[in-house]
Amino acid sequence: MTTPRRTSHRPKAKLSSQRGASIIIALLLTLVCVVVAALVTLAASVNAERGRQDYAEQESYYAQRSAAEMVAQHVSNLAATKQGDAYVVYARTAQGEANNTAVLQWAQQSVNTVKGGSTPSTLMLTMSVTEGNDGKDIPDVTVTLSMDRNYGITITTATTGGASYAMPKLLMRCSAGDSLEWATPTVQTGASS
Amino acid sequence: MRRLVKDTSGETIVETLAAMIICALSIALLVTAVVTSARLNGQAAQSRSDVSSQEEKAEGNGGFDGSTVPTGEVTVTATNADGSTSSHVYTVAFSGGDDLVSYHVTGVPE
Repeated sequence: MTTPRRTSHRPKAKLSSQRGASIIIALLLTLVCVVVAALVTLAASVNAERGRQDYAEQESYYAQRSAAEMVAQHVSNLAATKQGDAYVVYARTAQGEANNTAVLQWAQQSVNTVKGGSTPSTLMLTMSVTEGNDGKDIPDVTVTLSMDRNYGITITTATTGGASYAMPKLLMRCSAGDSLEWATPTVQTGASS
Repeated sequence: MRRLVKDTSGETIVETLAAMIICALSIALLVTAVVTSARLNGQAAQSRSDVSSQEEKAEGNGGFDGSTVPTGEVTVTATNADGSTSSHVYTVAFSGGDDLVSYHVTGVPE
């Protein structure tokens, strides 16, 4: 014989009744656990994702830095002397002598364009590791060279695809006179003069 | 007091068992989440630790960690204002490690 369950009809009695409370407490515990688990998992995922993002930015940073140093080394090796009304740009060392490259040709055109009072065109270089990277994903770098009216050369770099590090522009100041030489690059802080 | 002693109201065994099962599942869920998070954090920390020494080498062009051949080639393609292009290949030496690499020129362009 089963005893019918007593039911409370008065609101106060209902509130103070503990019948079935274990289920409610268990469900509350579930809610707390789900919220805590979600927060813990979210925090770990964000941490891991930030690590991946940092890693991609570091890859981009080193690719851009290497490319910028390579170009800066190239430009540092250049010099120009005045011959008549025009500047002639040449490579100062034997290694540079072999570098009969687009940078030298661009510098040749640009210094004379600046000397003539015009704004020279920019030169875009795309640098990609084509051998020896052993399957690693080294991003391609686009380097843009521009020359200001003081013959200073600004180097702008960017990587293509993926997370890209925002590399500051580098400025190679020029000692102007009868001969031109470009100093080691410094981070460009303001507008080019 | 007497009323409390005589009171037979309570929860059935089914209710109690159901509550216990729900509690157990909740705690299992929480433990799983914590363990997974700890593993993710451990992997991230290990990855940062691995990369740290490579960073130093890549930063200063000072040597190489790992098994990769530390030399290679970089192709530089120049695009002039008139749209014409020319390419040169430079021999470079890599610095860093298997994960992070910087490079610098070691030879004249071919």
